[in-house]
Amino acid sequence: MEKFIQLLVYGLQLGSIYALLAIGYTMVFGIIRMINMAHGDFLMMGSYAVFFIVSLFFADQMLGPAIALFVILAGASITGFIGVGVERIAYKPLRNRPKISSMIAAIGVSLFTQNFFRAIPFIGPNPRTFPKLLKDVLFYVGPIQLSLVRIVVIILSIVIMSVLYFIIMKTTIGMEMRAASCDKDASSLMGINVNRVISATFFIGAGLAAISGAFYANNYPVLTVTMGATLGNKAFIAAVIGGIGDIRGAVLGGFIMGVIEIMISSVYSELAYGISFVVLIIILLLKPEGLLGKPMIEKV
Amino acid sequence: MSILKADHISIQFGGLKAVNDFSLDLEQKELYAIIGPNGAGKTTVFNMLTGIYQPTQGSIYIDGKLMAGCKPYQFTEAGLARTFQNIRLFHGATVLDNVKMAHSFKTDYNFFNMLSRTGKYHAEEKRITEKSMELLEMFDLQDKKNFFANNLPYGEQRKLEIVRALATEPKVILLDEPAAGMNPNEIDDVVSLILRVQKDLGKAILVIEHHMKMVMKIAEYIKVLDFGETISEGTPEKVQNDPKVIEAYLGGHANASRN
Amino acid sequence: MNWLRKNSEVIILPLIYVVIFLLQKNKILNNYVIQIIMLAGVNIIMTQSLNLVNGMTGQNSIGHAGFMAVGAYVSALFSKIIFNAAAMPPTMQTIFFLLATIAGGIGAAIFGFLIGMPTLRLKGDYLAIVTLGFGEVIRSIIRITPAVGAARGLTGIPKLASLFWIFVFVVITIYICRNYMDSAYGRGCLAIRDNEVAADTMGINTSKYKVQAFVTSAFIAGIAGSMYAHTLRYLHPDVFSYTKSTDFLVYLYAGGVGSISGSILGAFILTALPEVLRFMNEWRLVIYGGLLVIIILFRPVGMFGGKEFAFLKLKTGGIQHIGFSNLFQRKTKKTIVANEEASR
Ligand SMILES: Nc1ncnc2c1ncn2[C@@H]1O[C@H](COP(=O)(O)OP(=O)(O)OP(=O)(O)O)[C@@H](O)[C@H]1O
Ligand SMILES: [Mg+2]
Repeated sequence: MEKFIQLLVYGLQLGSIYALLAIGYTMVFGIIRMINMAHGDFLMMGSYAVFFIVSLFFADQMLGPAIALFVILAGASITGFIGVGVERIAYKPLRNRPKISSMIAAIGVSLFTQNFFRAIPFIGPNPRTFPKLLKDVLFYVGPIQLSLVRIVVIILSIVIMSVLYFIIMKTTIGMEMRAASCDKDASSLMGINVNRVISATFFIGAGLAAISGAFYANNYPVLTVTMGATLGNKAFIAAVIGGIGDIRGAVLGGFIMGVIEIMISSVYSELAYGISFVVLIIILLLKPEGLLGKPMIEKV
Repeated sequence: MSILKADHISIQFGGLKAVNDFSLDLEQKELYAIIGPNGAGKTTVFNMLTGIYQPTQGSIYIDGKLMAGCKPYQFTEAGLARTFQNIRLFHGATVLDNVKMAHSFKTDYNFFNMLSRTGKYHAEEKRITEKSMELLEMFDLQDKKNFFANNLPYGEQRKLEIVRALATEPKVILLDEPAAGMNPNEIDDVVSLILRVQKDLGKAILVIEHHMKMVMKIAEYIKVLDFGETISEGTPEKVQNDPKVIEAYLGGHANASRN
Repeated sequence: MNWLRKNSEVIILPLIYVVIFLLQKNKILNNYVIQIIMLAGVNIIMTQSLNLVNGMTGQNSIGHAGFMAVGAYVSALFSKIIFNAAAMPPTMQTIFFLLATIAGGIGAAIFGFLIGMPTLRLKGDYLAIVTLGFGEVIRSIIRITPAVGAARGLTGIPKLASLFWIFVFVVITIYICRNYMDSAYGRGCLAIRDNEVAADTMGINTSKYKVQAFVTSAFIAGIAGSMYAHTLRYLHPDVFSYTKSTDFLVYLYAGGVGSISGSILGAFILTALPEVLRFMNEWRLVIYGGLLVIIILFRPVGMFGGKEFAFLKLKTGGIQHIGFSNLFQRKTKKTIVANEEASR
């Protein structure tokens, strides 16, 4: 039982990372119906951004919580702007072309970024060690040992997702996003600046990916240029399981994936990815629109 | 016996009842029309009749066969073909290939004949090409067989869609606004084309059209939809003089924001 | 003479082989170069296979290396572990090589069916994520299966593939893909690619056509896997990673998606190029990534403009046939003129 609760906490923490990442997939899909295969690389860029900020300005210091948060948000903004730039350069011209084109372009972007980072000397192919942002405190609830940082990460993720939900439901830009995801042409006729909305979506998506990258690296402190690929794939599976296009679905799918992975890994670690894949296939067979997705009828 | 029969079909999208209690009974060589203001649900009826949408209530019969749960290609196999309001040609293919593509499901060679190019393959390909050319010639498109579909002028794209539909050798053909966006001359062409399909080829036809003159000229029977309801039906004379129809159209114009 | 002009492939293809063969015999091409040519052949087969799905049917498989892995491991299992082909006389070796190759193809096709069946009946881009996941899962399965060498890799596979056999399989693959494209089956797929709703209402059973093309493609990828295994004689699960799959995507899109000739040239040139340009080594994938984006943005028909070799005698269009030299199809010239007239 103690073991189970401990694993559950681990699972929820990993799940919150997947959830933050999956939100980006789902938001981009919701608005431009595109699967951004380069989304995982935003996670990689985010964690490198945080790594460089810390090693440039705060070398060998232990950061307080406020500074840690600030550093993460700075990394997220940098990544957010990169996300906007990537969309402008590589995806925007493809908006009216078959969807497969933009997906292939995204694969190209991903191939380019990963290997560019690997090829340039100051990042290079060797893994970097991510600094500990916060000192971890272990504490006990009854017989169960828990880590403060893990709990903080879970809570912080939930706070961030709630803020996002608020932004989307209550603010103007959120409303415009929802309108654009219903019907891009109609909303542009209604005076919504669709380009701005899409940029905002990419900013938020890439920013969240960067935050999830920092959270991830805080626990698994090895940075490599390809770290985003596998995490990205799993988060994408999470988004599909939850119902792609639906933010609550992405969160649900993310937590499901995280918990499943940790539970299975504790028995047989090589199987975790395989099982999540099997879960995906089963969901596609039984409920192709995902757990929370609504069946879509294509207008003819 | 009726070729196409719709028995009290309805469909709902979320809260919106797009079509309510629609019935139709079309027999051989008959030409029916569906009219109604924008957003009345005409195209939605077509989508149900061709299996693209599943009606939430009611059933559809083609040639007496109940089509519940069937996919669009099974509707086509049962003898139904259609054109689309927003043209849906195979744009990356030539005019001739567009017509040949519609022959796919009637091709009589199997996978291994195809891979190894047996005599059967060659014979069938020859037959398909000849039949497709025949159809193109019938509608004066033979000179453009090597054009890419999206390079055809608009009017000919609409014509090609009809030819392509005919290539599936249907018993009924459904035309969604075949004269949309055409000038009066072109409309005359479309009228004679439709009449040829009906009279010479002996197909039953169901047509959606906004050009009233044209509808009144060709249709034997008209169904009028408004907000998904069938508000009037009958011969052109009867429908033309039905106050409900006049009101629906006037209301539709006066209140343009509703679609 | 006229017959020969019409059937130029009867001369061209053996000629290509004889030239390479003579260059090899006279030591003008060393073994290393020959091996590169053989690997280029494997990549051509893979790119053809991918073209059936991404080019002809308009679906998006991005984990095709997974099928290659299945083919490679199944065939190696067959020729090395089940039957020890290395110890056989040469004729028996050839027979068992062909059997192993077919076994590899069938193995990959079975996986293609299992994956395609639930996925391809859905509308949308689910194939991408499923093939991607499949590629990774196959690797992790291989990594924990001691019978095929697990994470250490599988060594000592008999060297049964030769320049000759790879050449033969390249030709067979091209022949099959050409025949597929130029038939009711291929036209059905092209219709799905261009407009799935219209294809459906033209009587095309879209799921069936998609699954057929996908399974055929997986079979061909399995064949490529067997060629690969019996050329390099060593397999490691990490060879068949996502990066490998993206290589094939780059070959295909750079050469011209939908075009058989384009995918041949793309695979051949981009396999050879890094060998010629040694400095490219660490920048190879950077360049490939950039190339992919640039091609998609500015030249979606690919480097070769979607032209098809005349000797393929393709009647059905993969993408626009645009010809300007005698090497390429004549009939397309008329098409272009006609199209220009139409757009005036
Ligand atoms: N897939 C769908 N999902 C939701 N609503 C739909 C769908 N398809 C159609 N509708 C709605 O059903 C109503 C009827 O639309 P339909 O296209 O059938 O009208 P129509 O009579 O063909 O109009 P028009 O003359 O403009 O073509 C419209 O309000 C439309 O928005
Ligand atoms: Mg309509």
